[in-house]
Amino acid sequence: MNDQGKTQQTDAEQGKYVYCIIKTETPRHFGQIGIGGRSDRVYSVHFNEFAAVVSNCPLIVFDPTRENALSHEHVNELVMKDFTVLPMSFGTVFRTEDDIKAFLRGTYEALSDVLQKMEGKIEFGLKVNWDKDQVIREIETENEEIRRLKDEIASNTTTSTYFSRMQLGRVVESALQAKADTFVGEIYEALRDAAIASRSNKPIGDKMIMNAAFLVEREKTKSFDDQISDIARKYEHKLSFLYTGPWPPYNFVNIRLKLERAER
Amino acid sequence: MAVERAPGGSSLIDVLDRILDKGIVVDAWVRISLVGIDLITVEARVVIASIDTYLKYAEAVGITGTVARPALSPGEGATTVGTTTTSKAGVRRP
Repeated sequence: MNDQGKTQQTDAEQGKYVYCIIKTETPRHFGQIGIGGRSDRVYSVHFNEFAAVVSNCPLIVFDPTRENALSHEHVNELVMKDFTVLPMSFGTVFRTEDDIKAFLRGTYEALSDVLQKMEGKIEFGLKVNWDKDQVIREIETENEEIRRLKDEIASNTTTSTYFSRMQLGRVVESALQAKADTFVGEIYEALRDAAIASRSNKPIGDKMIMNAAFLVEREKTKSFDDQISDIARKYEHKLSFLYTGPWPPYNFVNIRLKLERAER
Repeated sequence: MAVERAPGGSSLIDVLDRILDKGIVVDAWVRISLVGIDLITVEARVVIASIDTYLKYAEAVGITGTVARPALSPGEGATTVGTTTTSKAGVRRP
């Protein structure tokens, strides 16, 4: 079966890489798009009504290289076209199909519960950035206390302006935070009816004020798109939007598993 | 100007942000032990440490960033909804 890599790796142990869990009793193939660049076939391994989507792979710890990460995601995206998926996190390898079936049996109740909750739903990502310097300039003209402090610092030539400058920094910082909260609050509010749930992740870097994921009914994709477009128009010269998806519901499925040695 | 939706796989950062620690996560220790120790094929149990589906809408103002944060690791203050389903995982080799 495994004729590839017969040079030095003939005896390298083989495993099964797991991409996601779906609900189907019908065996499926998803093409030769398996992780690891060997064109391994992606197929389903079944236990009752659940199936793990897997491919053969060497029994190794996979590094999240660009190629590997995108392979993992690509399979998920393809499967997602036909199924509601519960995505596995990157790098999950089992030894045998029997191990996978045992895993599906062991997590059966959790999978039933979570899969039912995710049925027909997909995830979208929304990152929102602002031009911080421009916002600071705006704040400086709007905010009376900031204007006063700046004047005070500029006109004071005799004594130390240390405390005034400290205070100015604090006031600007809290005005910025208030402004970000207002934007973010308005955006969440505008999307509330179009989404089932949302998750707020930590913004990355200085410019980002919002890093969110939304769980949306697949059938309501269009109206969610429209809402995002409306928002983007509304804040056209103030904010920029990075809108991505559909994703498997990574941000809404959190099943943590441990393996324990059983008593003999 | 309308904003375009970029397909999931088009940004590596967004991909990594999701696949590395979200979804169904098997303890990293297991992945490592796969290679060295013959653990999963020895009798072992798959234990669910925590489950959460985050099916709530973030209350935006003021508490963004604290709402529905992912559990860092099992048992670390995770909002655990259901727990402990156990079973034998693995088939003993002859």
